[in-house]
Amino acid sequence: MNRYISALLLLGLVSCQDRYDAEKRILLDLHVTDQQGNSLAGKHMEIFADDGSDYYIGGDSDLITYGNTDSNGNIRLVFPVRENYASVYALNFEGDDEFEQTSYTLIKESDCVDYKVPVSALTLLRAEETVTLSIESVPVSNQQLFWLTIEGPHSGNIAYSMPESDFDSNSYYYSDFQVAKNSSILIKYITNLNGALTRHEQTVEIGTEDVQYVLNY
Amino acid sequence: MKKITTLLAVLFFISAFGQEKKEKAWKKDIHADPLLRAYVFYPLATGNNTLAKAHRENPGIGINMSFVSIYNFHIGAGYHYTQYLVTDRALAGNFRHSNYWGLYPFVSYELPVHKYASIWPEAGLGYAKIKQTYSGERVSNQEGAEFRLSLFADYRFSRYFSIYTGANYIYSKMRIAANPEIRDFYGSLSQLQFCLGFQFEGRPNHPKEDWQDNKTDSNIQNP
Repeated sequence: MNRYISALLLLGLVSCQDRYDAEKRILLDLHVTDQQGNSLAGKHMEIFADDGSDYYIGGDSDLITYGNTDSNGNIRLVFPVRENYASVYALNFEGDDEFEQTSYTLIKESDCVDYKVPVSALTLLRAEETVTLSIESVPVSNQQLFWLTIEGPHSGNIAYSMPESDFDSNSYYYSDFQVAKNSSILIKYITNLNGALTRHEQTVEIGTEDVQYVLNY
Repeated sequence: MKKITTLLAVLFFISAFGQEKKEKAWKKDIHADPLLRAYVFYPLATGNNTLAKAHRENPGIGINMSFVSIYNFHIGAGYHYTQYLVTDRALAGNFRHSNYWGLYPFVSYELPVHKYASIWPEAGLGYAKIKQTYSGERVSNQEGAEFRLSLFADYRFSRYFSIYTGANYIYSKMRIAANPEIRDFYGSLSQLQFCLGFQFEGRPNHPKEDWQDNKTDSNIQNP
């Protein structure tokens, strides 16, 4: 009897295990600055492996590597590829007394160039340096808005990648973002017309006040 | 580990007890020559690689055994294991330990330098594996090959028992797909191992007996 209980416990343990392939490793070289361009030392950066089902870093995410930036604001993080779930990763700064939480989620192995994440710089923002960008999506055609994200200095979670075409079409997206004052923000979105996906981009100039942006699609 | 140890022990005893009959049929310079070594070692990871830069060394254990001798060359196989502690998780990943083990065939040559002592150069080529773990929650595996060069010396206390000490240099070429900037950091590893251990012998005609004067039987006096 004890043998069966042990076997079941072992099976449970193995099924909960996160397995990685150390024969494939992804590199991230990052330079971390504030909005004024000053290098930030001692900032704690993390990489989570995720199954890609969420837009944010959730309970199913596994912390696979972490470290602090050096005196020049640089950090090198290297992590193995996860084997038993979809290979989606998130770069996260969890925030501290001075700077807001910031992350890029949905970084895919296929986004990497020669096993290197194509993100080399991260700007951290103080709370007083951000304004809210609210995007109001207004349909003007038969298309459906499939996905939406932004690119530019921000705090909070944003998706690095647009989803693949077979991505769950019911996935939600954020419409409110904390972005840097006096910055240019690129809105990236995908529309769906009878299963045909089209990618679009629009630039929004941000000043010192909150922005309500109407996105016609 | 247990299976490998059992297998080596079985092979050792088979060759030890089976040698009397076999030797008659064998040529003079090719004969069963069972020799078992068990040792502890302290590794020193060298070079610019993950073991040297992102880990701390811990003592390891090893066992090796030769079965046959051909013109004083000894042919055998060995196993060694050590657990490195991860000290830089930014480079090694969020793991506590990296367990390195190798399984290898080898060739060694015995150079008797004294009635009770020999020097042994040795070379081997085998399989290597690194398994990284974090309390069973997270694991990763990496396989490769290792090339070994060793030099050690033994001192014989009795016909069957010696102590020995020496060093192994191990170069490991691990499988890796990564950016060229870091490929060698994870794919080309090197380590030195400083060993101390025991040697058990079952040889009927020990080469060191040639050093004894006026001895015709196979017994040897303790030093």
